[in-house]
Amino acid sequence: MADDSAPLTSEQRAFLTKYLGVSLPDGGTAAEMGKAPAAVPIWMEAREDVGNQISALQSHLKTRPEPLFQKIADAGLHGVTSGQLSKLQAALMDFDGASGAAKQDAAELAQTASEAMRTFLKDNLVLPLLERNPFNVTVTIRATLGAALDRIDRILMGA
Amino acid sequence: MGNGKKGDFSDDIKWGIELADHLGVPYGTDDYWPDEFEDEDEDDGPTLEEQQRESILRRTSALAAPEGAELQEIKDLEGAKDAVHDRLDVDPVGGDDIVQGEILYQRAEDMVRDIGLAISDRAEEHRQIDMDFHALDDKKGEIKLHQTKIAAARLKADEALKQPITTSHNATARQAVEALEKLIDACEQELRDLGGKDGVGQIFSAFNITGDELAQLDQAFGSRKAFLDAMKAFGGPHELAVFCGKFGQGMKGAKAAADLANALGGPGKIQETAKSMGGVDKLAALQTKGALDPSQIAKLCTEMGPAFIGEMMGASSDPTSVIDLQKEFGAKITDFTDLVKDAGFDAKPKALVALFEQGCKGKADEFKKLCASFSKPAEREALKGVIEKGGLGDSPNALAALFSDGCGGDPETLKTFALAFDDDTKRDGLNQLLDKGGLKGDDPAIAPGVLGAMFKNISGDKPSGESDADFAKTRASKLADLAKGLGADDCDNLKSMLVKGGLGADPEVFSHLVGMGCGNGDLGKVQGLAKALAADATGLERLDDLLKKGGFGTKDDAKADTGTDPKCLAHLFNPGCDGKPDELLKLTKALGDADRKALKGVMTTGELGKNPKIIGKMYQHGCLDDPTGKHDGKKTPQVLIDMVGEFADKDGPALFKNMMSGSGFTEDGKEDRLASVLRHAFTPKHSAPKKQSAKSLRKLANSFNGHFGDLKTTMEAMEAAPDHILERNDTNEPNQPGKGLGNLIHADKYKGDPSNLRAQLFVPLKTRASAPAAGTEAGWSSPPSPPKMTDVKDLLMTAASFEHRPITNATVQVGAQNYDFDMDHAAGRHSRKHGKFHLNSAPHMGTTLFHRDVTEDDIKDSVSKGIAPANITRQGPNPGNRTVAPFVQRRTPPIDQHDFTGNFMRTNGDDNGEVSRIGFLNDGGTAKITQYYPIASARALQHVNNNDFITMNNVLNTAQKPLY
Repeated sequence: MADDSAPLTSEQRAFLTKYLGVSLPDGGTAAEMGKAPAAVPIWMEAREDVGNQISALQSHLKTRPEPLFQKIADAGLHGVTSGQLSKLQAALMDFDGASGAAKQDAAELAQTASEAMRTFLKDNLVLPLLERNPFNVTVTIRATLGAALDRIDRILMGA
Repeated sequence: MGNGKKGDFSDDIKWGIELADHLGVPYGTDDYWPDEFEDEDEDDGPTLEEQQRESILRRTSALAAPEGAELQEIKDLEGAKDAVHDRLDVDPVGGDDIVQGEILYQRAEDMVRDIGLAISDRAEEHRQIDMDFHALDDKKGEIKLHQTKIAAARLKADEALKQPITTSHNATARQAVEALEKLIDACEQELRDLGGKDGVGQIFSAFNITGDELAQLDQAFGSRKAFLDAMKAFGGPHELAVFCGKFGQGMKGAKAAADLANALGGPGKIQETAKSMGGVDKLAALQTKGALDPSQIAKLCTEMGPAFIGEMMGASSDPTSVIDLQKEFGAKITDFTDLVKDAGFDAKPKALVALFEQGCKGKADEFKKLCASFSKPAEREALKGVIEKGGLGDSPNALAALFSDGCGGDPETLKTFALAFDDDTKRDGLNQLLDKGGLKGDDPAIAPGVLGAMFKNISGDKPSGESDADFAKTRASKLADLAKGLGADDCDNLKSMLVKGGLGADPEVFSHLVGMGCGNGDLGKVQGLAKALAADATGLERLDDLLKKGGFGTKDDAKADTGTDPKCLAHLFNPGCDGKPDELLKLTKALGDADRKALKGVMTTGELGKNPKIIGKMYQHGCLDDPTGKHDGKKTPQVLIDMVGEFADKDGPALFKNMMSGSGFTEDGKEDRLASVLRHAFTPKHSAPKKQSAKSLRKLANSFNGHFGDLKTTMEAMEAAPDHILERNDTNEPNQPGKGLGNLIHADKYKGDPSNLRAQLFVPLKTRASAPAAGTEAGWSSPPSPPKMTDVKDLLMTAASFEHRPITNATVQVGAQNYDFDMDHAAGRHSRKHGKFHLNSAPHMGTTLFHRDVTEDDIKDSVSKGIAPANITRQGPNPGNRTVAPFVQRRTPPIDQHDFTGNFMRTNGDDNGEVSRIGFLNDGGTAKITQYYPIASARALQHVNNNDFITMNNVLNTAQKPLY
């Protein structure tokens, strides 16, 4: 779990600059900058964890000699979550980029997206299947993303 | 892990089937088992791991960045592929290597996919940007300035869109398109704000600028919004440009105006300030002429108020005085602001300025004192009452004059004035007096100082011993009561007096007229005077003439100073006309042009106009229709006309002046002299008509010309005479010196003409007084003859005591015996009523003069009573008659005059204290009383030296009287 008061790592700063176009002053944290803590990095961190888990599972399937697993791997497991993840990410990017009166509006939209994500995590049947794969590849999609959503919701509510 | 046999589904396969079903991945039963189950009999080749590595490497090599990938994406992909190779570049390759290699491959593969997606996204984004860009194609701008800007921005966006599609280029293009869009929006908004194409044209025209210089306007005003706000507040560019132009040319003026607007609180505020100040010229002058910066101007406006500032600057827009005034107040500016706020001056700036410029003569320190003096709220409230309700706020000139003249520039007195108007009836009255009465100060026929003069003079002269402060209270209270009491009609009448009667041009004259002239502002008298005058149009015209042509105004018809006292008219009215308006009107109308001219000469050059009290008394007494009547009787203007007419010649006025001053007519306390002389000295006492011969004043003046001190001595003698010699003055009875002088002038020798009075009377008497006593002037021993008079005044008053009344009967019978008594001698010599001067043949013997009241009858009565003891009746057939038979015989001792054979003298006295010596004369028949010499009297008996008596006779009578 990230700490809002901790300085951003160089990797985090590079990420923000590269993908979000956000340029932070040196040494500053979100809290120090007097802004609401950024939600996107939290989400991206969780998304990356989940992505790695899925990639690991997919890689393992590729090693399997049975064509079934090859086909599953070729079909791609990332598609299970990528659409929902992107929607929330877009909302969070708007939230982080907003200021003033628009901040509150963006927070409300992000919360709606967050709730949709929670519904997805709860109702999707593939996720528990992936998590209980028989190959002992660790997959914790719901737990990882759920924890990230908790943190993000706190930020949104504080906006 | 798979179990390696067909038909035997492991849990792995079951999980895979379930997952494939959820994912919609098509599969068949052959997919449940690995291919090796079908080729398990083939020769051993590369190990499974080697085969798998080969597969991975082959697939990895096949990975390539799609077209449109960015360099970094390509680098990243290559790096990912390198990582696969690196990871599998081991020998022997194991299962774990394969797993890790597969993971790395998967990452690279995902990267390719992601790159593809990114490329697709960028293409889509580029397309969207391009679409957005072209959506703006028809937005080219309405004015050249905008067109230029938009074209430049469009070109920039177009170029950005032409760059290869990358994230960076997309961002740049997006920014450029957004910038273009914002610019277009801004231009459109600006155009709307500027009033469209027409509005922009007007701005350029108004400020004489081109489009490129519009930004300078923004800069001058601080922002476009500020400029637009200003333009909106001013109602248009032309109005704003004209306004700015007052502060300087071009942008300099605009900036100066904008800076000032900011300092004052915005364009609306500066406009409001300029309006309150009376125009932008004045506001600008604070900067251009006063060299004040915006903050200083704002401070000045806050402290002194724009309206006051504008009024202070006047038509020339000169800010010097108001700036100086602010400096004078310094930290004490609250004295000013409190007065402005609490006394109602905030809405009456003209009044406040007038109070400063006229009331305080523009002296800042005096004005500061004035403001400071109203330190208590109640005092300022009182002032507010007369400013607002009382109307003085709308009468600035009247207010200023009230302070400077009416209050003498004393703030405390102004305070007293304000406090006296302590209720609305008084304040309303003041307002009405200003408005209907015409005292506001805006009527050209009525000077603004009328109200102030009324306040100053409403109660007449200050009583001795009364403090200035107490007298101010008296005056204020009187004026307040008068204002309260005067109705609308009264005010109309007052205005008629002022306008048509010419009094409006002479506030002092007017104020004294309604002050002391009307019993110190008595309401009824003021009303009566105003009503009577207003009703007589001709009278008012003549009153105007009297002021301007008759010398009763302080300025004549040529507006030259007359030098006359403004109280003259008041005294002419009261006591002159006894306070009766009809008498004043009668006088004004009786005067013709020549009369007024003569009157003016006497008033001005003759300096009668410097002596208002003399004028009042002179007209009251000297012009009585019946000079023997009461002082408040009807007047005859002709007396005045005659008097001044005699001094109408070239030398007349100067002679009049010399007479007045040289003879002591103008001395303090002698204001009655001229009245007394005019009333009594020229009025015959014992012959008709008993009218004043006022022309004789000139003769009197001529007589004493060059020697007016002698006339003064003469008059002083009359005034100093004891009561038994001359009738004393009394209230409203200025008997002396008129009556004494009249006795002299109407003596036998002058017969009412005083032309030679000095030469023939004063000079001889003076000579006699100066002559040394000698010879027989030692006098008679029993009773002692008085010494000669050495003071000419004694001779003058004694000579003046003879009234020259004819003796009724030359011979009267006295006593029971009916003696013949020579009254012609007795009264003629000893009574002042007659003055026949039967002179004594024996010069050593003086004479005695009775009290002025003793008459013929008194003398007869006294003699009759004195001889009563010898009242013995002669017996016989013809008593008392020796010429008619039968004759009676003389008796011895003699019983009555029939028995005397010679002269006889005896002392005769009565019970009243009258003692005289009487002499019987037998001239051959019946003895008569032919000698009479009073020795003592119950009343004062004057003993006069015989030569003095002779001298007096000589100066009063033309012929020598017979000697006895």
